[in-house]
Amino acid sequence: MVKALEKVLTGIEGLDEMLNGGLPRKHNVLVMGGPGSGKTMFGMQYLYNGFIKHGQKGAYLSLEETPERLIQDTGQAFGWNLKELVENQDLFILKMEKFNFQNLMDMMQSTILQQNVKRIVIDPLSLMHMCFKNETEFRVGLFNMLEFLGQQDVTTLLIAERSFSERGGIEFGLEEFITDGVIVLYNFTRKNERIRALEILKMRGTDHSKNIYPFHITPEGIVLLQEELL
Amino acid sequence: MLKSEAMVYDLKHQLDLGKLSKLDYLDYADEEKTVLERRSDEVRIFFFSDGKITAFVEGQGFDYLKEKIASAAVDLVTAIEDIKRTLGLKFDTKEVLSLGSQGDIVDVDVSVRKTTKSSVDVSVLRNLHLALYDIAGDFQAERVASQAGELKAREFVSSIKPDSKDELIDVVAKRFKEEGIGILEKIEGDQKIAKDAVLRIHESAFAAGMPYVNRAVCNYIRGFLRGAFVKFKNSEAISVNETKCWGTGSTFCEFHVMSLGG
Repeated sequence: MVKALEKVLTGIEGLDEMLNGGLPRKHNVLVMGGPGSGKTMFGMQYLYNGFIKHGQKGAYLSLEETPERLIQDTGQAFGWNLKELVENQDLFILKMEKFNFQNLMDMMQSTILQQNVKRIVIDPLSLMHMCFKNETEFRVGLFNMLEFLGQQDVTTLLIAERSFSERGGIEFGLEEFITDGVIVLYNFTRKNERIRALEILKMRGTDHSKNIYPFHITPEGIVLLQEELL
Repeated sequence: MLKSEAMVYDLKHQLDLGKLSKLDYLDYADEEKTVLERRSDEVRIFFFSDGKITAFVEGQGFDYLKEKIASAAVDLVTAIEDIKRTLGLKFDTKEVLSLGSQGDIVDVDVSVRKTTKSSVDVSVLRNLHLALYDIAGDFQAERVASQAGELKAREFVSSIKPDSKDELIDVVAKRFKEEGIGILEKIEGDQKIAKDAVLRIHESAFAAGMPYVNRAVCNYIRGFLRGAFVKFKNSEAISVNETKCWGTGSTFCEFHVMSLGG
């Protein structure tokens, strides 16, 4: 008898239903989108919900933005008490030393093994290229990191910047093929209006919705509009 | 000999340690067979013939134990229930646990190395360390060694509780010398490069005298230093880089410790 895959709830309204109960536990999931598509907010909401609703500690490992900026842009904007969670070490928001992959791995390892975090966000994965001398070394580093994460009891979102505006225009990189799942955040233009939307392109081990649903960024965070299809 | 603060429970029954030693997760902790032990991650649980149970983390105080005891609770309860069944005892497990109290500082010497004590030749360490690189690869070897160092440092700094950065460095230097890790020298370096400390290790147990191998290898020390500063500053936003090493052609090993934002 096949054991049902354990799921981790994102707490993002509408998304857990699309995922048939949440993200598969211990999976590495790529969340990709263009500028303004809501990637950072998505990642932070996943961690915030993880602790507030499920008591799971999380770590946001930033390769670019400072923790102060992240707390201001996401926490203050939605009334999330991120600063308090960080002070209590229920949430870790850490910025990697510039181009230092070893430091990224040190922080990842210690928050998982010493601080018992169960959710990780790495943002943006695209900047990890800058940590390595060439593409080959980057690929080795990425494989090693994903293998390490796969051995731990954590469910990880890897945020990636992709430039596209319409569904047909996605160019896939290595990351899309080697991660366990891919969620795409769109920022369409329709009749002079910007519409944000979400699609689950791939999720190993579980059935999932194949539709594209628009979402709004509300005072409480991202909310999918499942009654509307694109 | 290590001092630890413990949670103490009392089953109020004599325990036949001989019978209980048949349980596959209980082993004698000493050669004299006066105490059985169950390990639950960092927590050690001792069972004495007078019915006392002590749970502690080696070398740690009560605050650290309180953080860890929750994860050991299942193993503790299972053991108590098995003791009841095996010896046919009658008591309320919940009541026993609720009456647990902070024990006096426990002095426990459970070393079975009466002659060899804690000495091991550095060549054994080197062989093990290099084999890790050969078998597991650079990435895994680095992760394993740094994790070992970090874990030890966090426990160490938790128990010492230094008041200042200088005191932290002094106690780490003393520990490194006592354990044969190396001789730590604090360098008054360029503060633009390293915000917290520039530390040089002479006679590194992992690297001193080794040939050029095009990589820094003192990941245990790097992890230890990181763990020490993380615990001292109570922040994970610490970076430690090994900027010089025998493995990269230097004649000493140097580490830059830096606080990051967050």
